[in-house]
Amino acid sequence: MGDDEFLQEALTHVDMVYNLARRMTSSREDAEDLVQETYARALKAWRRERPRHMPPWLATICLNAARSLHRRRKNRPAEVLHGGLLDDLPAAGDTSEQALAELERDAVRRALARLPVEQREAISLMDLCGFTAAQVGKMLGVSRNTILSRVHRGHKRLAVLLEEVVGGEA
Amino acid sequence: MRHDAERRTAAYLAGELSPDEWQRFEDHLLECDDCWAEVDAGRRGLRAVETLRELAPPHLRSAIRQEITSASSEPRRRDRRWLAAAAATVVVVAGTAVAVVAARGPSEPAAITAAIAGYTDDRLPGSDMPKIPAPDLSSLRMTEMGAGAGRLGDMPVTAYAYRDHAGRRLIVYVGTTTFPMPPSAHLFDGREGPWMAQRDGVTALAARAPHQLLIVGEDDDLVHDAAIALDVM
Repeated sequence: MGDDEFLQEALTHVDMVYNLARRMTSSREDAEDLVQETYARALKAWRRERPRHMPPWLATICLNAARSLHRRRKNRPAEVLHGGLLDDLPAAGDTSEQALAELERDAVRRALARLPVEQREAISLMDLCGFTAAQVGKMLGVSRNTILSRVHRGHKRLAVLLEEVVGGEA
Repeated sequence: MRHDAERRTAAYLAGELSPDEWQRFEDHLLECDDCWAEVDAGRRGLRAVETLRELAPPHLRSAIRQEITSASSEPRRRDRRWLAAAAATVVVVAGTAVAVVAARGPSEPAAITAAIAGYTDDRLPGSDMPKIPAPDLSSLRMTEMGAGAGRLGDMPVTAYAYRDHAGRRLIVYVGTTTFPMPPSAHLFDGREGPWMAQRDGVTALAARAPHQLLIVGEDDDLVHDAAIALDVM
């Protein structure tokens, strides 16, 4: 009964957890492993106590699982993210429009991977997971204002990095 | 207005300004080129990030469902592992310090070495009565087994020992000064964030700055859960 209840509630947030996991790992396969690890840890914690608010609780578990994963691999997230992103390149069957959009997304992924991990975490949690700055601040143990600064500096840096890519291709 | 343009712009783009603040900022944007440029750059970055949003693949939902369903049908599998680990700990502790007191790392601070040794030997740093109540870990079903004030090396601390029904142990050390960080520690959020060090299967996690609380245990997950429960991550 308890585990069913967990499944029912936790699975509604799988897109959020997946988006966070994608930004904390270098491939879809690693992201899927991280999501599964997150849910396994969450179930274990759920059996002990129900969280007051599930989305930030799941995101915090995902961040901790990602850190454990990187520790085990003796790699920092930034190094991993600079690694292979090849599974995101356009597939042979894509139309030219889809292929172009995928190349643009690939440029964004690479630019995002070049940001300091603090900015990348804050941006992922706010822009892709939909948390407020106050929620993200609580998750990461810093103030709301610090999160807002990290997000804005990250956005500006991304814009500059993407302009460099466009400039380099022109 | 320009002084906090960065935060205000981020809050504006995230939709976190109150209606009054939003209107004032919009009015300000019409007459401030600098803030306009901030918003423009921030918006371009935000739009780029939003293109990365995607749905989890359907097979991932199925895999999670399957894993949890099978975990539910074998609910004691992980518990048995913990019980085995706890039994092994009892045997090792009963055999006293021969096998467990590991060599101190070349530059590990004395207080951290003493904290890990205290955990390994299941021994508190002193018997003085604590002046502050024990941190509450009841949400993790951890029961306080003992407490004592004393010293780790030169550092005055109060220590609280916990155990759960499966025999897993934690010691929480509360200092009045900063716990020194070993060179091999992993930083979670820069130098102001928590740090973690591991040696010989024991994890020591220091709370975020001012780093005056240290959680020590063998189960990495449990140490992290305790840090979350105490809101020090």
